[in-house]
Formats: sequence, structure tokens, C-alpha cells
Amino acid sequence: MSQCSGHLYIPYEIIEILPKELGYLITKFDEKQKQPIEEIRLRSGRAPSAVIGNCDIIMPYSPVNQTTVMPNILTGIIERATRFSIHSFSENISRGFITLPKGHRIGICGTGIMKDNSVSSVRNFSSISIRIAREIKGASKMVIPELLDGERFKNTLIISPPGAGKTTFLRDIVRTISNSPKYKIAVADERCEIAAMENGMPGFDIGQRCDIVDGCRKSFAIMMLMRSMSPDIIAMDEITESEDIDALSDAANCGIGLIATAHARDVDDLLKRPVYKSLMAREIFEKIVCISLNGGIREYKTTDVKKE
Amino acid sequence: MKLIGIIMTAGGFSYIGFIKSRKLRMRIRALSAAISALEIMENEISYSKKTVPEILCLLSNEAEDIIRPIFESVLNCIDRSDEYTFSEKWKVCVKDIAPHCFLSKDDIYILLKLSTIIGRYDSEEQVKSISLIVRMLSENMRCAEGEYASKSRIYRALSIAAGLAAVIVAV
Repeated sequence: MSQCSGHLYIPYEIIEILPKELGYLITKFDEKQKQPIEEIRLRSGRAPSAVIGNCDIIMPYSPVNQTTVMPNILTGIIERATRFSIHSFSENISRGFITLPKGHRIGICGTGIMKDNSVSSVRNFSSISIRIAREIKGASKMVIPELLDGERFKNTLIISPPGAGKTTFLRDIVRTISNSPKYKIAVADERCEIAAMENGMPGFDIGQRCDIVDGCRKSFAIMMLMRSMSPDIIAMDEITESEDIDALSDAANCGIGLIATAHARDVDDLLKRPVYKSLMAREIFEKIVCISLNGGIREYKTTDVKKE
Repeated sequence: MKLIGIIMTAGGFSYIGFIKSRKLRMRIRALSAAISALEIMENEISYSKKTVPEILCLLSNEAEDIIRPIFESVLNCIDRSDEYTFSEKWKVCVKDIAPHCFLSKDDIYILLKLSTIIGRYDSEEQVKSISLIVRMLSENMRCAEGEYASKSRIYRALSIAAGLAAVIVAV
């Protein structure tokens, strides 16, 4: 078991898209906190709040006689986040999020626009959650030896509740492994959060031997990587669909090592969910790393997956 | 001295006529350039899904000189980090720059409608709305061409005649 904590500032990429007064308020609020802000939550008609540790703390907001966030503020933020181009982000918006440069993610709520039996877009934004991506080098340092069997990397699933740091942890594993001459690692970065690619350049340090396919579904990205880059290991974030599991299974059958993340409090919780139950039934993963937050401090617990 | 006065009077009146005629011709050129630029915009939105700043950057380089300042101005404006929405920025820039591009009030009014279209919807809806704007501008261009055909010669002829008349009266 290992721990990691530390205070970090609000990144420029986020301040840039916020209205001036709100950006100033959040910066000032952040300076007074002992722990870093993990998420900023803005809801129409209510005061902004910040998620720190496990708590959603309301901020005292009163710029220019306003006590609450108004819908036009949310629209302005989305406009700036999409660089005034909702059409360029329509696929992501229809899935409820936008990824900013450096991997920060904006979750969106509003009125869904249905087309052909699926959500094609969202209008009348009612609330947004800005999740701050952090690069914490060394976050996986204590855990990595447990994931190796000699020189072979054990297929690993990282689980935690939302916001506990799965992506940060995964990114650090990718960086560490990719700096080793023994492995070629590839990343299927569907949400552009792991490497935060911008114009073909990674926004985070993801090491020397890492190839990335981003912005497309994991199942497609895995196949593309397998065909084109002959990776030793493929990493991906948040398995949610049965197509992802099929692609994982194909990769595992080709002898490629895998690292993935999933939402679950612990192994028991994981096994209760139908998608993950079928994933575990395929016996792809050998190790599970469970991340938990205790009083704002992250704890990493590794477990061997028992094969039936 | 008298001869110089006569030449200047006749030249002045003729110049006014030619300016009027040139304005009509330049409006047609500006409308044609605006239509071409919007067609590029439509293609970039529907096929490559480029962002608005990328499209404006392309138009700042590739649109015809007569209309280019509008796109350059909007691009500079959206590069600035402030709290104005794209719609507000587009309106300010078009109102500020378009009158210097030989466009009429009606043409500018149509271009202002783009403020609530560009970047606001999914690509399909945007392309539909831009196509409508293109059709409206094309209609204006047809009217402008008709106006040029009918009024251009009259302006020139009248101005020369007015210049000569002024000279005769003065002599």
C-alpha cells in the first residue's frame, strides 16, 4: 500500500475559459485550500462549488452582483472550451464531455437533442463539471514492481470510484514503462485524457516509447495499434462497453500486455456489474489495483486475480 | 486659368459618376468573394470539421482581398481572451469592417445573421443555415448585377453631362 498527496494550482487552460471574475474567485479560493481542487462544478442558478478530497464545497460567489452561476456563463465557457466550434466537438458533446488541452475534462449537462435514437447534441447547458487533470510523476512507483513478473508485465486492471485518480495513476504507469527499453507501449486514448494530445504532440510526459491513437473508440484504437505499431503493452482508460471487452480479449489473445481502468469501489463492487463480470469471466487480467481516497490521501492496494 | 477651372469642373463631376459606378462594380465583387468564402466555410465544416479559428485562419489567407479583412478581424478578435461570446465578436467585427468592403446595409445585415449560426450547431445544421445565407447573398448579387447593368452607364453619362453643363453655365 502506498500514498500520494500534494497541493497544485488551477491550470491556465481552465482559467482561460472561465469568465474573469469566476477565474479570480476560484484561484483565490484554491490558494486558501490545503489540498488541491480536483473538480470545479458550475450549476445554473446556484453558486459554484469545488470538489476537494471527497467534499463538494460551495464557493462564496458574488462577482458583479451575482450570487449564482447564470446559464449564459455556462454557454460562454462551453463556447471557449470548444473554441467557438461546437460542430468540431459534437461527437464528444453527444457523449457528455469535452476534453480541453492538457487532458482536463468538462462534463456537460443540459437538454439532449435526440436524432436517430441517440443523443446528437446538448443545448441549454444546465451544469458543467471541470475535472482537473494532474500529472503526478511517481504516483505508481511503489506499485509497479508488483505488476511485473520478471520482465513480463502482468495484465492489470485499475479500479476506483470516479475522481479517485485512475487516469493519473495509469498515465504514470505508461510513462514509467515507456521509459524502459524493454517495452513498447501504446495507448488507446479515447477521451484524450491520458496523453492529452494536441496537434500530434503529447500534453503530458508519457515517456519515450509510447504510441498513441486518440479521439476514437477504444475498440477501433486497439485494432489500429495492434496492426500498425506492434506494441508489447496497450493501455486504455475506462472500459465501459462490451465492444471494448471484445477488443481487449483479441489483444490478450495476441499476447499483448494490457492495462485498463474501470469504475468500481472494490473487487466485489466490480463483480456486481454485468459488463465487468463478463470481463473478469474472460480471465484477461492478472492483477487489480484498487485506488481509494481516505481523507484526501490516495491509497493503492494490489490484488491477484484468482483464476477459476 | 479659366481652362484649368473648366477641366477641373468637368473632371470632378465625371469622377463622381465613375466612383458611383465603381462602387456598384465593387459590391458585386465583394458579394461574390463573400459567397466563395462562405462556400469554403461550408466545406470545411461539413468535411473536415475544422474549428472556427482554423476556418477563419484559412479564409484570412485564401479569401479574396476585398473581403479578407472581415475574417482577419474576427480571427484577431476571437484570439483575444475576454468574456464576449462569438456572436458578439462577429457582430462587432462585421459592423466595423464590412462597410469598408463595398457591401450594402442589406448585405451586412445578412452577414450579421451568421453570428448566431457559426459554431453553434452540429455541422449539418450549420451547413444548412450557411447555405441559406449564401442563397440570400446570391440573390443580393443578382440584384447588384442588375443595378450595375442599368445604372452604371447612366451614372457615368450623367456625370459627364453634368460636368459639361456646369462648364457651359460657368463660361
